[in-house]
Amino acid sequence: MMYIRKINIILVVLFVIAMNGCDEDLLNTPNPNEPTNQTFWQTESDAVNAVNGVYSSLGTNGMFQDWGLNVINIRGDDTVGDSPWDEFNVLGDFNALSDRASITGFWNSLYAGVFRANQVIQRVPEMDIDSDLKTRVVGEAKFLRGLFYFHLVSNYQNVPLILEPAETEEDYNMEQAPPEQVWDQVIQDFQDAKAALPPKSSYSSNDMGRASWTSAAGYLGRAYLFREEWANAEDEFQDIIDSDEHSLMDDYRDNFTEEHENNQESLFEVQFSGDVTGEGQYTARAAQYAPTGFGWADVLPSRGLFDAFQQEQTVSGNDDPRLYATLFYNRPGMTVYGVPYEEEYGEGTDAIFWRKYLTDEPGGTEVDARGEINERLLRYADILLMYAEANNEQGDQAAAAEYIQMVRDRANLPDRETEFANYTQQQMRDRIAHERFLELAGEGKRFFDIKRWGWFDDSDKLQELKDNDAEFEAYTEGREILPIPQDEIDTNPNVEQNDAY
Amino acid sequence: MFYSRGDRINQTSRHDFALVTYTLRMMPIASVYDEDNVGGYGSPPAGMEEENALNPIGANNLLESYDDINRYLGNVWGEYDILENLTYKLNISYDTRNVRNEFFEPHYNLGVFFTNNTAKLTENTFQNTQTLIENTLNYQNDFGDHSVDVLIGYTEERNDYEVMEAHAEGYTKPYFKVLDAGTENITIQGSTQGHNLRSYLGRLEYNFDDRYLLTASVRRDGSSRFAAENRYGVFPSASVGWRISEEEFFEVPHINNLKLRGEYGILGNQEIGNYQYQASINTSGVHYNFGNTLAPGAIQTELANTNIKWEENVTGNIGVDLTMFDNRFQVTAEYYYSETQDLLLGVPIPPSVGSTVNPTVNAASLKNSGVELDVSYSNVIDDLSYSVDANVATVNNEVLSLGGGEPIFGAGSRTAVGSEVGELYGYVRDGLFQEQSEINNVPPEDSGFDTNAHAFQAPGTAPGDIRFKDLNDDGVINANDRRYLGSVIPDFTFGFGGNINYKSWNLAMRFTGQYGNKIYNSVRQQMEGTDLFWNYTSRKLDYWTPDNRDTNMPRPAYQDPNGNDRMSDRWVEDGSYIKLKNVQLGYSLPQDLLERFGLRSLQVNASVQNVFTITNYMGLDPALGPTGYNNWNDGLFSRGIDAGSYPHPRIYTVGIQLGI
Repeated sequence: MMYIRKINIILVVLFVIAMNGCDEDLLNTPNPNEPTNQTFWQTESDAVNAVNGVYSSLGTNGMFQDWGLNVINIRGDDTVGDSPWDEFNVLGDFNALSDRASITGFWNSLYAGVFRANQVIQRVPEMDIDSDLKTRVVGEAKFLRGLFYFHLVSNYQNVPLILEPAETEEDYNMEQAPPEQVWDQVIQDFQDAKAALPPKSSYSSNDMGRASWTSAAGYLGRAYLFREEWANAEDEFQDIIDSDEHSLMDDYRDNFTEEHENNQESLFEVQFSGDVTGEGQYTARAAQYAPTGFGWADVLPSRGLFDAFQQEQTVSGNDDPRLYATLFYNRPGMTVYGVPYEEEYGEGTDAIFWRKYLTDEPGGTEVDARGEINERLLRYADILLMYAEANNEQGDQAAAAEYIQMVRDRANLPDRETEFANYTQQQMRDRIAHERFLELAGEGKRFFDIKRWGWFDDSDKLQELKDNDAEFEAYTEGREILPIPQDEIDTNPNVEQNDAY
Repeated sequence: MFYSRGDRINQTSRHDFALVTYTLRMMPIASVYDEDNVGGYGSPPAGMEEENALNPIGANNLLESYDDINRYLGNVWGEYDILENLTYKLNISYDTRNVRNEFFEPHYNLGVFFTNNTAKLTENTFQNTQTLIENTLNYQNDFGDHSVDVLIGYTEERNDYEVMEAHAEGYTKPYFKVLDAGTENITIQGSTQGHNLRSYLGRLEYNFDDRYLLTASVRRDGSSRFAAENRYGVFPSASVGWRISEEEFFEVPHINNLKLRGEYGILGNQEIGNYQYQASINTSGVHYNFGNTLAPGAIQTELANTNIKWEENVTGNIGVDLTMFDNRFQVTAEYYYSETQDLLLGVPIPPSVGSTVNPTVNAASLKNSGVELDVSYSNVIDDLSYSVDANVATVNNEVLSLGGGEPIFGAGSRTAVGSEVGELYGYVRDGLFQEQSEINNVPPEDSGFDTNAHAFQAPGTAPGDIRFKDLNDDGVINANDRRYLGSVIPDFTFGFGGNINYKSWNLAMRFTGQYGNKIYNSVRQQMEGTDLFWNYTSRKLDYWTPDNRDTNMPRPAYQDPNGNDRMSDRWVEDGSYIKLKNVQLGYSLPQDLLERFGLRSLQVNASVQNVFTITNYMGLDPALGPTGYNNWNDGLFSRGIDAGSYPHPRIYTVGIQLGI
């Protein structure tokens, strides 16, 4: 025993001496896990990985994995927050105050994305790499920065405009920029991205989902709509339509399935996949939007949305197929994840739940919060309807009618192009609003449409919103703009809270 | 040489609150066990699925987490007397700790938000190795009444950490709880870190005739946690003592020992994460995918401050030690003052900067001062011996500087220059609204604002809601209407106790307590909130209705449209208490009886810990302990919060001590 102990002691002594020695570099310990800002930014794969890291923010919890998705959806009259966790409900009630997880989460993630995009935009142009790749990578980063600021300004309105990555404390406390200046930058970034990015069809399958020039043009046109620059908007949508890069899927439902991700109708989507690890592995939408018994039903469709689908039937006298693709509702033969609707919710019930973006797989469930379906942020049907809007606002009701009918045709709705073409501009606005309501329900578009159309200032329209979704009863002036997060107010002496808070 | 091995079963709470809170939140009509339910434990009954609470007994029993801990410690030293009074010593130690954690989550349904359909296994291994080499040279000599001890040294310390995590899912019953049996989502992660220290030190101890005592030391420490230009810090300290009672002129009766002492010194602190001064590129957490194929990501996500340096803690104290009456009576009194400068801290920076962490900076300076007093008395009278003692300590805290000067907000708290760390901060109540005519449901800029009514609080405010004070008188209740609500630092803490021995019997007890601090009772915030679906306290039954106006309990309202539950003085309570921490009774068997059985000693004792607490605090225990998964107390800016603190358990112990 003693013998063994002696050997142990000697071994330990030798080991310790060997390990320590008299090491000159004892205190000089570079991080063995990661490169630093000084050693990175050298190779082509560094540049590509860097911009991948910018995309990665899209899938973060604060952005389209969870909070951002809910911020852009629940405030519309298509969507209702109905959760025991009131973070969802306060959004719909226009009472999400400055310390709410959604308010803070979306802001933080958007600015984390801006920080990342700014690094690429600043660093990659100085790198000694293939110039085509360089152009594309910087274009992708500009598209993403434009997208982040698009959401910042359209949700929070008065936001700091930060275009370079912060390095020292002097870079911290940025003032809020006038909204017009932020919009100018959004447009500039999308323009630059449009010029730099390749067409979607040129990407290989391993790059499918990267921003293409049509992604940038689509968002650029949409930004012009927010600014009511109708002719500019029309030009962008025209470019996309003329490009033959996109067309409508035959089956509307294919836009919300795992199987048909990155399809020809999609201009840009957030990629989720259970096969890879990372910030955006799974989307929380599946669990939060799935019906009672199969998910948490935190978010429901509004009764007004369901009713709006009743206005018209298909040429063969059936429900609009988009209704079935969008909602679970009580109709003959309806099943919910394989279980007959009335067996699950009781005979004669009229409960409605979201079906869009859910697998509805027989025997399946979403309670694990492991949704893998990509979130389509912009698709071709939206482009066609926005093109119709841009034309209507410039007095061309005929063009508007034609493009509206294109979208209606896929839903097998009656051909009313001639009737629509004779509408007044105001009638056409209402028609476009209705068609967008149905086509894009639950896709984060409705709230921004009604806001830019001025419905919050129009008592008739506000009443219509209240009829669609009782949450609008709680709306008070100014609450269509989100509060600046309290964390920002507390740490940044140069920002001011928005008026309604 | 030393080796130890241990197993530990961990309490397995999950999600955002401690099990204590869930135990309160779970509705009492739900059954604990339910054979038909996945996992065998009950969940909220049909029709109440929206209850946001889990079955705490199920959670504690179903989730399995345990640690295997192995530790090897080796220490060798050698001494060589170079000269008669000069000794060289080499001390080498090696300490390595291996922890393996296994966490298994079976299928269960403990509530609709606490359902697990995929059994999962996660194994973590953590290895930490510390090696230390100390070289010292020591000179020691006496010259008459003068005694001198000088030491110089050089030390190196190296710390390495390695972590590895493996995860697998898709286990089916009967469970084989090994990684090989997992079928889906198999992942593995690992990383390594290290930090090293190099120190040069010198110390002088001088003693004259046991009357005058002097110690002076200085050390120069280098840490790998700082960039080259800030790597080293120099930290001197000195202490002096004067034993007045040893002076010839000192002839005060009954005093056995009287000593005055004082100390001043600077200590360095580098207890921050590793590599904080380096702007690292995140290569593990920012992946994306295109077409369901991994697209590896790499980008800076955390800002770093390259200029960080040693934090310094300047401390000073003066004290007196007094012993009287044949050493039966002892007093120790001390005044201390400490100032922490260049406190290393992740000060919150604006989220618009986009960094996912707050970079560590030398951000703040704080001051602590106070008095500590210990008194004890012991005596022996024939078969009876006893001792009593008491201590009291005070602390005054002040923030001298802080980051860029902006206050830092914690959970219900605020820290600002010129005030205490982590002061409770929030809204102030002014009764309940009784009539709709007192209420404004629109902001002042909008038409319809009634200047005779109270300031605008929320669109959904109604009678029975709390009226908050409009402290800045601007017609709107918002974040600017928050103010100081109390200190979480006690005016003083104390303890007292004693021991009585009579013949073979022994009785000991000890009280502890504190006075003057406030607690933010966040558990009550949940239990009186009544805005969501879960169990509530019966106190809530006294809520406001048009027929029950004489109450301060606001109306129950789904989703709390008025923000009645917001952080306000409603949740701030007095945290003062006295606790009988321990009482013990012992009996030693008489010697003659023992000899008959050939025993040397036999003692029987019984003790109770945490016997009772006298307090006005409404929560479970004002002596806040760890609060589990989501502990809001960060020990600095957020403190004094009861977010489900596990109460100190009452422990009954009976023991026998046998000597053979």
